[in-house]
Amino acid sequence: MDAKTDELASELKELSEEQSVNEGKDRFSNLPNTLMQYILSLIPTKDAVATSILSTRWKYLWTSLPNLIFDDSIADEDPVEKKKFVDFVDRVLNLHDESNIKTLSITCKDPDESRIQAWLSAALQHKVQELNLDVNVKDCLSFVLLPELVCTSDSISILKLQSNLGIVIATPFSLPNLKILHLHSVLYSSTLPKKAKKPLLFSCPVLSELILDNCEMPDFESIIISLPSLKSFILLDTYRDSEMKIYAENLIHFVYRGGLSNELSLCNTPSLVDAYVEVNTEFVPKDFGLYASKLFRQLSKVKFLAVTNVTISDIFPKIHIDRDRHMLQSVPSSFPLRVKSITFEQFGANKIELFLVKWLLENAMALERMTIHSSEIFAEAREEQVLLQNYLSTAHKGSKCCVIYLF
Amino acid sequence: MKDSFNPSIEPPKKTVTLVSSDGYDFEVEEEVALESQVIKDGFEDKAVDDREYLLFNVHSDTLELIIKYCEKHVSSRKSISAAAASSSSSNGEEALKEWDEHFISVDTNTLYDILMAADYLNIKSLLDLAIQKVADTIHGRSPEQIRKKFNIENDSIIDPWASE
Repeated sequence: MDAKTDELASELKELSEEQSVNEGKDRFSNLPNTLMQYILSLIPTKDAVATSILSTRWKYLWTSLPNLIFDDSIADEDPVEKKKFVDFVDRVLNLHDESNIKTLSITCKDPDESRIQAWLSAALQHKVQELNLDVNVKDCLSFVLLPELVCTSDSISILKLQSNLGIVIATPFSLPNLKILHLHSVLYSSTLPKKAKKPLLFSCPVLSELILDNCEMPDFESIIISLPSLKSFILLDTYRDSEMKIYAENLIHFVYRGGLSNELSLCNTPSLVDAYVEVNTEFVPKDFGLYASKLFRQLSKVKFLAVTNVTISDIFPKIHIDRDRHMLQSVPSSFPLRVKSITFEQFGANKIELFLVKWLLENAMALERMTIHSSEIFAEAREEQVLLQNYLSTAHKGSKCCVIYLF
Repeated sequence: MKDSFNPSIEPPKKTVTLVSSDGYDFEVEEEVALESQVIKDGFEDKAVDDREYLLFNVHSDTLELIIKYCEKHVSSRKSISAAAASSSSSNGEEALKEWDEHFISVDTNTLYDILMAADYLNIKSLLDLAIQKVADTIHGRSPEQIRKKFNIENDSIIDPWASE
């Protein structure tokens, strides 16, 4: 490097700083538009729009902002602030130049349905790619109907809707470029006649990630999810009153957390690698055993399976099912479950746990070892411990060489 | 903040010459110069003994800072991947982030020069760093504070947002 030293450089730096203060030259306003807009894209929407008052150079720069994020949570309940928020969103969307909007995120409490719909329509005219809508309604009579244009948009690739059942979807999705869909507590109401066994998500040919979190779908007798491109599916439902069938031949990752209150079938999921099932035992539905055994049989080919039971009391029993991959290959596929070792932690001998023990002993043909760690409460219950021991020694076992440890 | 290489394990370095707009020559190692996408793009077409680049838009003050940044990033990348290879724990990335933060904490004039040079030389990580610094400077400041910071003259005759 040249003979210049750090010391000299810092001296020069200080000198130039002094000069700049003296000159008071506005150099940043000379930046090319692309760099100016890059700067604005990193600032929260409200602050970015506010730069329009700096000077004429800055006045219209914000109108090509690609990412618009609006959140009315600071407005709180104050009607004046709320109106300001609505006017602000109106103005930003109306004055946006012809460039595309990449992301629109709206978080809004007790919204005016017509405003939300107008905002969504404006965003769609700008070919919005990612739409995040978080709407909280004050009662069950108010809701926002998702515009048909959103349900059939060809620009949207990421759609995330969150509500307290205040967003209603009434048009079947036909989103040719949708890759990610998250629905949290939205109402999916089909306009089709009841009992029409139509697939839930009509045509989303490239959808790869789906979250259905406590969504209500009252008009479906049977919910059929048929998505050949789906790779990851997270299903959360405390209560579901219709059966669900999943056809997803490329599904790799599956999570279920809920009450198993109705049938859940993985009808065509040959690619499934890992599955996580957490059954909430707050209440045990009539046909729980049937649903559970069916689900576990369908999960028998996965390489990794974790099952967790949660009760509302302080007992959180955990069941780990470890699977030996070599066993998987050497045992004919007709066996329902080829687990080698099962461990129960915090075993409280509740109805579901006993059912699982019985079912696993009967069906796990390759089982070598079952370990049960009693919960503190169950460990104290001497009589019940003896009953369980007697049961375990006499129970019908599918495996010829299974050892059971009870602690 | 000098960076030290271990000369014993490194073979002799090939160098290139960068000439600043005010005529100073900077001899830097090839891999340091190649941090610039612009230099990288035409590198193979140039003859080995003709690896001299005239940077008409970069003053020697700024070029010195740019070279310092590139040297640091080249050496950090090496030590991070070396730590990963020997699977020893390393906070290299964290340390580099801290170094970056310190590096970019300069007056607005120097920040502007770095930003323009990073754009001209197409050094993506440095451009991102400088742009983020400008954004952070604007964010959370009142219009008057921003004007003062960047010497922006309010030339609007009528302020359309004045009612707010």
